[in-house]
Parts: sequence; C-alpha cells; structure tokens
Amino acid sequence: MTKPESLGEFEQCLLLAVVHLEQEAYGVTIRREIERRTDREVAIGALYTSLDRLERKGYLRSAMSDPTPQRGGRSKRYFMLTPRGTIVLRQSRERMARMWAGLSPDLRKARS
Amino acid sequence: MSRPPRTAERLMAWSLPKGDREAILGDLLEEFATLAAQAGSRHAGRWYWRQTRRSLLPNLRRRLTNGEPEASHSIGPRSQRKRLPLEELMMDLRDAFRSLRAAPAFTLVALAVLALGIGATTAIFSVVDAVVLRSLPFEQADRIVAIGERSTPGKGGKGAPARPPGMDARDPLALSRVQPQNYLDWVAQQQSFDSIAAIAYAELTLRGPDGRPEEVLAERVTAGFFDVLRVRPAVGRAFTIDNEVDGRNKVAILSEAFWHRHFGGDPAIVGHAITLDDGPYEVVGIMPSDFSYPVGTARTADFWVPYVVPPNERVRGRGFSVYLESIGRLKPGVSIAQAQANMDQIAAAIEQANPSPKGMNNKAAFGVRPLRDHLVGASMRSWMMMLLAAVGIVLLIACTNVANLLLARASAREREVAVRSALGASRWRIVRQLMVESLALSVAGAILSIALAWWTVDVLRSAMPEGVPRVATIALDLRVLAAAAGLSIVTGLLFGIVPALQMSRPDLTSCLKDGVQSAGRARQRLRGALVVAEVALAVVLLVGAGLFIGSFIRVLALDPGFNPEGVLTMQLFMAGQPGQRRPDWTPAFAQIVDRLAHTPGVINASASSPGIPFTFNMQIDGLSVPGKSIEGDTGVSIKTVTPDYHRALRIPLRSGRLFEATDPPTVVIISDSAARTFFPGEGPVGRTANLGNTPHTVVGVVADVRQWTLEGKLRPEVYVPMAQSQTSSGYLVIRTSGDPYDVLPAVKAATMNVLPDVPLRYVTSMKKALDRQTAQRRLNMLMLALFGLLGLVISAVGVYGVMAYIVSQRTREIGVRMALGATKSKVIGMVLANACALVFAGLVLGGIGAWYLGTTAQAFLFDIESHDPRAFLAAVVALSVAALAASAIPARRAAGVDPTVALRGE
Repeated sequence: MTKPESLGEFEQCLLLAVVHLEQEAYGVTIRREIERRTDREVAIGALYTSLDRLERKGYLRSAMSDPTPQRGGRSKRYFMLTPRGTIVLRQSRERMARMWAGLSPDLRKARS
Repeated sequence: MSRPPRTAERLMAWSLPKGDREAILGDLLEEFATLAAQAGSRHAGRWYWRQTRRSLLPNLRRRLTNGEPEASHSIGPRSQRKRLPLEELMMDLRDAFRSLRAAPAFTLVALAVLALGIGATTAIFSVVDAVVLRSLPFEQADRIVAIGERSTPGKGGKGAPARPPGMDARDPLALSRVQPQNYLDWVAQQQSFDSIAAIAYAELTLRGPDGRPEEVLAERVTAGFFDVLRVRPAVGRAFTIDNEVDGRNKVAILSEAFWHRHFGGDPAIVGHAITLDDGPYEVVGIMPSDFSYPVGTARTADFWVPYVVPPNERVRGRGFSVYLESIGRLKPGVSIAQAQANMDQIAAAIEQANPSPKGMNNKAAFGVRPLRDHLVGASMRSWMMMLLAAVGIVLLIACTNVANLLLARASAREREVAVRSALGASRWRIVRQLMVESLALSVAGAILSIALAWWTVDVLRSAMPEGVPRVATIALDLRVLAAAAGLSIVTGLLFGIVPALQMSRPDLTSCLKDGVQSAGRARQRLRGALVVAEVALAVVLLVGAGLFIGSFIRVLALDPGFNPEGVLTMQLFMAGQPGQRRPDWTPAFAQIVDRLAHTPGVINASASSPGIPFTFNMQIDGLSVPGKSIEGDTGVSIKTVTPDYHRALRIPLRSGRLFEATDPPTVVIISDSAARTFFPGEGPVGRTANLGNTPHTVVGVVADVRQWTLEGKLRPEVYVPMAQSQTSSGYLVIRTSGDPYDVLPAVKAATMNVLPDVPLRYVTSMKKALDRQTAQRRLNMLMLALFGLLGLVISAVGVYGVMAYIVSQRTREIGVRMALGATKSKVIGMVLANACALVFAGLVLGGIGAWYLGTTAQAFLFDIESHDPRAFLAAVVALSVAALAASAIPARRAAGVDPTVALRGE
C-alpha cells in the first residue's frame, strides 16, 4: 500500500465536514457545515471537484439516494469516509499538531 | 414555490459533467428553496447566480477532462498543471486587467477616447439610418414610388408652393404635388403600376360630444392607398372604389392612437359616427398601431377619409390647384425607368389633348421616384451624410489615438517582455498576452460607448429640427454599434499585435542591458505619422466647425424685419365643403381683434390673411404702376391685414404712415423691396399702384419682412386693409406685455364667442417660430463644434503622448547635452521644435484636406465661403496652441533632467 500523501487545507475541511455530518453528508450539508465553521462561501462546482478528487484517491466513497420531491425529483449523493480517509486525516492532524507544538495560538513561544 | 433563475440553472446544467448534474442541481435547488423561504427569492436568486458564476470554471474543467484522474501529483504548484485553453484565457484576462489597472492614466484616456469615438459615431449613424437609409416599413417597400409633377423652367405656378415640407429647391429630382386633373389622367392611362393612389392632407375640425371644436389632422386618400402600401385596418375594412363617389364618402378609418385617445380603444366604435366639418362620418376601420404615413413624422394623421375629386377639378379649365401627393406600386418586372417612360408618354398625350390656352404654359412633366427618396429628399440626405462624415473623422482620430497609446505602452514595456521571454515564455504566449490586453481595452471601451450612444441618441432625437422625416423612428441601432465596436477591436488588435510581434523577438541582450534602445526608431516614426494624421483630421473638423459657427452667426444676425418678442400667433381656419364658397370672416376677425385689443396684457391685436412670416400661406398677384414697365418678376406677396398688424409685429415704418381704422380699401402699404422694384429712385408715398386691375394709393413704406423662411430670398410685399375684403381664413397676431401664452385663454374665449365652430391651430409665439428657423443651423453648429473639440482634445493627448515618449527615450542624450553646457531653455526649445515639426506637417495636410472637403459642405453654409480664411486661421491657431500646451509638459520634464542622474548608468 502506497503511503497516503498529505492533504491540502480545503481537503481537510471537506473530510472533517463529512465526519461531523455522519450519515447526513451530501452537497448541501457539507457546504453549509464548512460555511458555518469557517465563515467562507464555497462554490458548489469547486466543492464537487475536490470531492471527486478525494473519492478517486480513495479517501471518500459516495452513493446516490432515492429521489426526493423537494429537490425537483433529484437524488442526493451521500459521502462517507473510507478507512484510508480516516488514516490520512489522522496523519494530517498529527503532522499539524507536531508543527504547532510549543507555540501558543498567537504564535509566541509557549513557556514550558 | 419560486424557481431558481432559469438562465443560471441552464448554464449550470450545461457546464456540469453529465454524471454530476443530478446531485448538484438537486443540491442547488434544495438550498435555493431554503434560502428563498428565509430571505426571499431575490436574495436566493442572487445567491444562485453567484454559485453559478463561481462554479462555471471548475465545472467546465471537470467536464472537459471527462472526469479523468488528474496527474497523481496534482497538488503541486498551479503553474505546472496542464491548463485548458479557456483557463489560460481567463489567466490572460486577469493579467490584462491587472496591468491595465496598474497604468490608470493610460487606461482612462484610452477608454475615454474609445467611448467618445464609438459612442458619437453610433449615435449619429443611428439617426442617419433611421432618417435616410432604412427602407420604409411596408411590404416590398422598394416597389413603392412617388409620382409627381416635375417643375420645368417657365412653368408659372399660381398660389403657394406645392413642395411638401422637407423637400428642397436644391434637389433637382424633387417632385411637386399634383393637380387632380393630371392625376385622373394618370389613373386612366397608366400601365406601369399595380395600384396608384392620391393623398391630400386635410386639417379638419372634429366636433366633440360636448360641442367643442378640436383640430385634427386627416389624410384624404383614394382606395388605392391601402393597396399601394399593402396595409389593412386591424379592425374593420379599408375604403373601396365605391367610397370615391360623392355621397358615399362619409366614412373614416381611425389611427390606433386617435382611437385610444378618443374612444378608449373600444372596438364597438366601428359602425358609429364621428362629426367633422361637413357632417357625420361612419367609422369603418382602425389601422394597426405601427402604421403611419408618411412614416414616423412628429405628428401623425389622426384618421383617413376618402378623397373624392371635386367636380370642378375633374375638367381642365383656366385655373387649377396643385395639392395632391401620389404614390404607386410598380407592377412586377417594371423598372422605375420604364414607369418614367410611361409617365412621359402620358405627359405628351395630355399636352396634345389640351392645347395651351392663351398666356398659360401648360407644359406637363411628370416624375417617378422611389418613395423613400421622395420622402427623405436629396438635401436631407446630403446633410445627414455630412454629419456622418464628420463623426467618422472623430472615430478615425479616436482609433489613431488608441493605436498611438498602445504603441507608447508597448515601448514602455519592452523590458518587461524581454525579461519574460528570457525566463522562457514562448513567443505565442507573449503575443497572446499583449493581444488580450488590447482586446480587453477595446471591449471595455465599446461597452462604455453603448451608454454614451444611448443617451446621445435621445438628445439628438429631441434636437432634430422640424421637417426631418421619420424622426419618431430614431433609436439606438445595435448593428451600428456592433460595427463601430468592431472597428475599435480591429484597431486594438492591429496596433496591439504589431508591437507584440516586434517585441516578442527582441534582441534580448541589448534590451536587458541597461537601456540601449534599438528597436525604437521605426516605432517612433510610426507614432510620429499617427500624430500627423490625428492633427490633420482635427484640422478638417475644426475648419468645418469654424465654417458652421460663422454661418450660424450670420443667420442670427439676419434681421427678420420685425420684433418677435412677446408676440403670440395662431391660425383660424375651417375646411369648407370642397368646391363651395367659404363664409366671409372679415367681420368676425374685426370683432375678435377689437375684443382682444381691450384685454389686459395685450398691447396690439391684429389679423392677417392668408399668412404671417414663416408660414407657407402666401398669396401672390401682379403689381403694376400706371405708365411704367417693370422688368422681371412683378409678382408680389399680398397680405390683407387689420390696421394694427405692423404695430403688433413692430415692423419699422420707412416713410408715409401705417394703416388707420378709417382707411378705405384702396390704400396699400408696400415693403422696401417693393418700393425699390416699382418706384426706383422716387418716393412711392402718394403714388398709384395697380393690384390686378384695381388702382391703389400707396400710403406708406415699411421694412422688408422675411417670409417663408429666414434665409430665403425677399419677395416684394404689399399690405391691403382687411376691412371690406373677403377673408375666409387667417392668423391672429397679438403683441403682449408679458408671457405671450398668458393671453391664450382670452383669445380662446374671444374666438369661441365670435366663431364658435372654429378651433385655434398652430398656436405659437413668434419667438418660437423664429427659433425653429435656425434650429437646423444651431444643431449643425453644436455638433460640428463638439466634434471639433473632441478632435482637438484627442489629438492634443496624442501629441502629449508622443512627446513624453520621445523625451523619455532621449533622457540620456539630454543629460549629455546639459552636462556639456546646454541651458534649460535650449532643451525646452529642442523638444518644442520636435513637436512643432509633427504638428506643422499635420496642419499642412489637414489644411489641404479641409480645402477640398470644404466644397462639399458649401451647400450647408450661409453667406460664408467654404474657403473662408478665418475658419482656417482659427483651426490652425486652436490646434497649435493645444499642441504647444500638450508638449510643454514633456518639454519641462526634459529641462528638469539632472545630468548626474541621467548619466549615472554609463
């Protein structure tokens, strides 16, 4: 198995949003979750570009639901984290944590 | 539930890969609905658009790569990814905007110049197109012709001129109106036309339900009118041949506007009657809303009634009147030349069948002409073309200037380009970048110009003088805008690409080495040539502006012969039964004038028949002096007036006296020019003159008054007291002490009292009538002056740009000179001499151009030669001053060069 590579910031946001949302992760909720937590409006096209890429890399998988009437009779595409996704996300966090270690949030050297 | 914006949704669906559409469109719809419920559908709609805009590129990228996995190391730097052409274009555009923003002075000037050039051209062309070029809005309009009498020398017409408004004596092909006798013969003998029709314009009086008279504009037409134009009423039926018989002609077809104004658009009006001068007319139809004839006039006909040739005009007698317009539709395959030949035959036949009575010249000549040309007229056409040419020059100057600016910019960026290509940018990449930049500039300029043109067209439409045909159809023409924008884009490309190609293979080493300029020479020459061209074109415009301003000043200086301030005028007229004698209104006029004279605010009240200055009503008769033979034209204009007429208009008395209320009908007052013609070198007062065969005594001589037009030739004039003459229509002329319109209610009341059936027509102040006389010249002068100013400013900017560039190129040389002892004033002189050489070349070329082009404008000038040296001098001085001022800034910068700084690089 090849070593999972590092994730970009936006990719991390996406994967984390899917984790937060558990069973309810699809386009609308993911977008809202990121918007709510990071205060940044995401274009739906850009969102799916990244989701597709993450799925191709094997960090996510998706499934289509049954069509619902309030969406004009269209189906939802639900996203779930794969085991590989879980690993890469944890690694990212560790790496970041190590980089942040010894620094206070205002980027001064913590006195320890 | 509200729906997302349609276009945005379609755009989104189109840009998405097929597999994604379902989920993404669903997501968007869901969110849209939530947002719409929370914040309203407008907000949600904006959100949807924002999403679409921002998703477009990522969507397309995915769709075009077909969802293929990107290279596995896709998170590397952006520049190493393979990009789509569209993406590269977006990048170029972004770069272009950045670099344009980085040079705001260049960008603003270029945009302003482009917007002014394109905007002005588009606006003028829209006007010209609507007035002159566009075909008439009828089916196969090119088959419709006007048929009229062509005036031949020696045809002594009687009465008012038969020329319709807008036509001009300078137009050799102009057609006059037709006498009914001739029209009847045409109908009987012609073989060239499918259908032929006669039109007579009629001012009628409509009696409202409350009994109040209202003046209306009607056209009396034959049944063929509807066949020639191929139009049918939208409701009801057209006239038939049956309606051309006396007794069955009491039918009317309403215009759509009139129908709405008077009957609230009620279709049940068809079959009902309206009351006109000579009784009730049954409404049989309503025309479609877009129909009017002639097309797009400021005031359109209210309705159409049948034209019946009056019995006394069906036979040829000694007198005739000329008032019909005739139109026809050519038979398929018949050319205008064939139709003309046919009409020539008919003319010959008429002459043969009707030998001239003694003393009358019955020479008949008929002409056939495309209806559009007839309605527009040659002089209107050439006026419009001249305006178009002038604005075209403005556009040329603008394009030249933008080219110049682009070249200047290219020079300034030589270093940047060299660095890029040294870093490995391909030639194509650099050329494309530069082209995108100049394109972006042109497109932005074109967009700005739309707004400008829109506004200008509005202003122009309302500024058009009276008599311009199809005024109401003037609107911004998008095709024209496209053409003008195309021209600017071509300019941008052409002058963006030449330096781009040149620069993209620069001699890298020499460019990167500090500042040795090698490729600049050829470009400098090109830029010099462009400045010369700009100056030359501006000279042409300025000379034109000078000539038109000169003309206008001269027209303003013309003495109309009376004082128009505070004078109100209106016509009292009632169409009688055709062929019937009209009632004598002389006592009525006397009563009205008497009542008005005692109205507060009125200084003098008077009446005149048949016309007043600047109206086309004129009566002409022969004047003779017993025992004297007068050479040349003895026709004089005759006005019957009430005693105060000359006082009301303040027409100066030259000798003798004005009329008094006690004057017998056998006295006359004559005008200056009549005195000169009929009593050369002697005092006319007290002498006898025969009007027709009646002897009159001259009691006074007054100043000449301009008649039909302000600029027209003066015709000798004779005034006769109105009392005891027969008058059936005329004008009131009232001098007031304040705003002339203040007395209008009193005039209405007085008229209602004396002539209850008669409406007031053409109510206007004399001041306005005089203003209308100068309207075209004023517009001409304003436009040419504006174009000239534009040309002046734009070419001054051009001179500035080139001189600034030359100075920056020669900084080092100037530094050396100054180090060797050249004074500041010497340096300034050197730069100015350089500028003078360019400007002088432009002035000479432009002067020659203006000399030749001026002759084409001669027809539009009044009392001034197209080679008037003052106009040339003014243009040269204005341009020289502007150019000097423009080059003074770079010259001072050159004088400020610090030799130590300039030479430090060596």
